[in-house]
Amino acid sequence: MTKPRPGSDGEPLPAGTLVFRIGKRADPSPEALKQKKPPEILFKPSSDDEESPGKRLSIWVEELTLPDQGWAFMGCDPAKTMVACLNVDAIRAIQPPKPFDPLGAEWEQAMLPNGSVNNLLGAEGHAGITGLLQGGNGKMESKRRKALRSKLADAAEISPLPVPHNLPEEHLRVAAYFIHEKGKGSREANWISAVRQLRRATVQAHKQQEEQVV
Amino acid sequence: MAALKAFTKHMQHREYLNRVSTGERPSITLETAAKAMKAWNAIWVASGGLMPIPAACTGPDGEMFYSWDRGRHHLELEIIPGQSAEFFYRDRETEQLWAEDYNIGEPLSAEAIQKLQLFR
Repeated sequence: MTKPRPGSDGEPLPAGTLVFRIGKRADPSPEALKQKKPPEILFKPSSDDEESPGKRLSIWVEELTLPDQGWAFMGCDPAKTMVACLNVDAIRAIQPPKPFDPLGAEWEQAMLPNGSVNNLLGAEGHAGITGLLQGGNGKMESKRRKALRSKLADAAEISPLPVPHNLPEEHLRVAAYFIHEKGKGSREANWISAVRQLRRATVQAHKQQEEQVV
Repeated sequence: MAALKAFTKHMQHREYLNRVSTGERPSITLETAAKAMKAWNAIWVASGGLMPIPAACTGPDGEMFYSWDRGRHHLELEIIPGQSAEFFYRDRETEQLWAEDYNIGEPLSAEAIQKLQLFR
């Protein structure tokens, strides 16, 4: 997969982009963690999202941000460990209940909790889902918004690897060494690449294991 | 054996509600946790003790969210601080939607009980 170039605020994400969401204050029960699909509430915009200029639901582009980086930007809360993964094509393909518009996915400038622009490594992958706040205050409109979130949850999958990752340090060191041998990037960039590669390998292995069980 | 398993899950759910409503940075208030437990008890009783334990998760503004999935059927109960709780149902095949406010502590409506039957 080619690495997407970060776009300007409001520009649509390229088709096929893989994204993930870490829920704000989403603390799942053991029963919820057994499910493959995330709960609908993981996609409920918070009152902060409702007041934000873009009115988007925060997501991160997997090629540019590690879930661990996104989690760190959100304050490293040990209770918020659930990562929901989605493809932008699946988000755009969701049929909205009439007369709602389809959902979208756009780049969004990452901000720090103090309101300043987040220029930290990994922040360039910040984006947002649009369309989750459409409609008025009526019960019918609320039901339609819930339907949209429910479909979004159906289109997503919970990552078998939580945040923070539980990858063995030894494996990361070996992977980072081989990336370093290829002779590119700083030590920090090599370490991030190692985490990304091992995250992907773990997810792949998990999927293969599931296929064998089926 | 089945009763013991159900009881264990029930206790696990109670522990989960305790965990998310206490400590340094609780995700929900003690009041929301108590309302959630009350609502779950009412649902369990109304389903004749056959409703599976909900998949639960806290929300961005102190909500408690319960959900049940069985094939095409999806049911939710959202317990929102300072408001009535909200049931929401979606049939994934027909895209039929149903929603209803629920005042926790009052009896469940006939329609809500009918929906519970789909998950037993």
